[in-house]
Amino acid sequence: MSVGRRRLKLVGILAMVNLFIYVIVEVSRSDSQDKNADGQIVIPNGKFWKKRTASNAYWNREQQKLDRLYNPILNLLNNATVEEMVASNASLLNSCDMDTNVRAELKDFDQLPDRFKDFFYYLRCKNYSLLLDQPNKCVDKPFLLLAIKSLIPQFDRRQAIRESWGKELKINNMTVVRVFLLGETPPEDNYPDLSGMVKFESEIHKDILLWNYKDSFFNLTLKEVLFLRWASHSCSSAQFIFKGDDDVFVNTPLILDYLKTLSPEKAKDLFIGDVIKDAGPHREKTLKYYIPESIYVGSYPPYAGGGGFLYSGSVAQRLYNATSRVLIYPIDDVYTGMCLEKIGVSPEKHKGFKTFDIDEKQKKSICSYTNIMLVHPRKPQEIITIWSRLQDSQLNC
Amino acid sequence: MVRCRKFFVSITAILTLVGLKIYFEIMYELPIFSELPPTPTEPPRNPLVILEPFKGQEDVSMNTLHDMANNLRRLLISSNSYWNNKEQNLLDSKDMRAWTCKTSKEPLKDLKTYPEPLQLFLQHGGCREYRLIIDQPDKCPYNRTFLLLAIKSSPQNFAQRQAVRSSWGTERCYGGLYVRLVFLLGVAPGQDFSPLIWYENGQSHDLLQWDFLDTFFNLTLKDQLFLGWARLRCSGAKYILKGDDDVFVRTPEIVQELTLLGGHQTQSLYMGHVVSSAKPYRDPRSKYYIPYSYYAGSYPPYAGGGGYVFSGALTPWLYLVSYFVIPFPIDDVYTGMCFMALGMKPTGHPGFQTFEIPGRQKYPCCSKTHLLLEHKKSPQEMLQMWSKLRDHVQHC
Repeated sequence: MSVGRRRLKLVGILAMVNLFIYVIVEVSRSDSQDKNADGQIVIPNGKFWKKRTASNAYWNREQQKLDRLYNPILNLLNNATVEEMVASNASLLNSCDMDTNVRAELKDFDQLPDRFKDFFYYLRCKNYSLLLDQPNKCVDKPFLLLAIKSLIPQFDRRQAIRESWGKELKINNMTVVRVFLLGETPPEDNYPDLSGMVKFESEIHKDILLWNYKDSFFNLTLKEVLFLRWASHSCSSAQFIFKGDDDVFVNTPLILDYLKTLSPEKAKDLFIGDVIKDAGPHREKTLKYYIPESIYVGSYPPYAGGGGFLYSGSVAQRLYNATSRVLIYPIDDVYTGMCLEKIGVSPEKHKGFKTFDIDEKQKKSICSYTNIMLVHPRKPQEIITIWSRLQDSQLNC
Repeated sequence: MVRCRKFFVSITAILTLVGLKIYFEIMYELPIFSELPPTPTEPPRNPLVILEPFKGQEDVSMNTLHDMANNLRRLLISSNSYWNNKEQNLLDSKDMRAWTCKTSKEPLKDLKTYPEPLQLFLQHGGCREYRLIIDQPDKCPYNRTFLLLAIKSSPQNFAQRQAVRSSWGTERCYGGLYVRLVFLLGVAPGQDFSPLIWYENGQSHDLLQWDFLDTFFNLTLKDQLFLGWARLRCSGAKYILKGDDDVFVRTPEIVQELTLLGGHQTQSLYMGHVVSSAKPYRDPRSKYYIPYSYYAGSYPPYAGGGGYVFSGALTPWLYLVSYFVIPFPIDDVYTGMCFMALGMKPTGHPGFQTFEIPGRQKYPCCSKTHLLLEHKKSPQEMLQMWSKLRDHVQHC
């Protein structure tokens, strides 16, 4: 008998032993589980699957419909694949016509504040186009892409970021690039016309992405979806992405140092920020974040506060794919949390992200900022001061 | 033969490319950048900075100056406070020499305890020698300006300015009376907006920018520099409305009300929301905090800085007198002091609302007594109010 065959035999025997042990363990486990206190075996008296009852809340209900559309097993029963089902409902999924059905479907629709009405009339519309694009932003395969949510009139916040933590750099093959994400502020809503100015700003700084949707608090989610679309089409080479508000201070050098030390496995599924767990919708009507029961019930998945979070390009790609399977939700960071849940990535809390600011005492000392990745909120003037003080070579912390 | 043909083909190709390149260069220059203003790295120096206070006013007699000094004396209470002391010394000097920033500065003992912005103001000593970066030499052609709107703005307030110029601040003619608009700017501390500012001015031609830091306590400086500009470039303006970029003004109604004025009022108007016998804020947390060691006594009556109207004829006088009043960090109070030196008090008008008055009822739109000027309006509110106003004009 050759050595090879003997080894094969040994492996075979070991595998059999393993299988035997596994069967024994499984049998004894199910034995202990399915018996009630008297030792009798419990036989389920209904079907083992449960047909989900339609939720009372509009958003949840519509999301259930969407889930069903993307459910491969249910589609198999209809003799269709997911792709076919999605394709046959495409007009419904991305419709940009005013959805008047919502008035009947959503309880007390007429009593809702206007921002909700606008939002739900055009809930499914996502195919907005870019008015100002930066198609060559990522030709250098950036290491880090900074994507900053801004509004057209906030020229000063953008300028402060350009002159401080948002500087574009290229050192030792490592590139950092920056884009600002803008929607329109239309004259019919009495906004001053600053379109020429933004166009000029885009020409000189080459960092403006402007889509033709209306910028509002609820449309921040749209901004997120459109950015993810842009990132996966025009900037798929970015290794890491930071997305945040324009009123935050970000310690970019610290973030770069952190990203450089990551192991490849960790880097692939990276998603860090100020993670909020076990939160739910606010029911106080006066709040900006108010969501009535008729719209959403249940708690929120873990999500990172929208002030700023950091993730990998790979996650961005997957998040974009998930956006078609998650119905737009009025609060953007919660929506990102929902998409993360869909792709099975859990956001990780990092103590360097201070979206609720630091102590008044700590604020005064510049050394507090050396080990902080992000702090919110800061005025343009403060951003510039903190940045220039951190750049000081005499700094001794 | 073949080689020769290849040679000709290459030559033709190169020539075509060169031709195309030249064509593109020309096309590129013309349509795209012709709209944009040139962005010179070093804007030309403007002669306005070296103005002498007495230029054009050589006939001011010593008597007039003494009258002014006596008017100012009524404001001063004898005290050891810094401002009062300096003003007293200025008035007591025998030859009435104008105050300049080269006047020797005595150190302020407790300067270190002052809030930082106030310290900065005092360290700069209120110098007025700042050059004009952006000028509007042809703002008031043919001396036909009836009302000049001079709006205090800051470089970053692009949205506010756009809202003002596309609503109540539009340069136009109201029944033969011309309204002109300028925004008064300094330079944003720490931030460079110059390309955007030049672009904006290239579109609208209504910015005046000086190279001083645009901060709250430099508003007095802005006021003085504007007066210097106005007496040179817009001396024919009948009235001047000075206001903030977050006020809403019912321009057509103000114009109408100004046309009704008669007699001496046309030459000596100072009208707005009057604050009489106000005292300095002594709470260090207030934006308007003035320490006792800096200024003692109460303020002269003044019109709230959110918006007030005065006669254009007063401009050279105000400019002159500002050389005899030590700069004071709060601009509307300072204006009140200057008017006091001219022996004038502000006239109150119920239509000017530059301070929040709780519980004040809004006037119905079509009544005769409605607000002419309201403060704290966002750009969006302004445009909304303006479109409503136009509808009502047609309506009433």
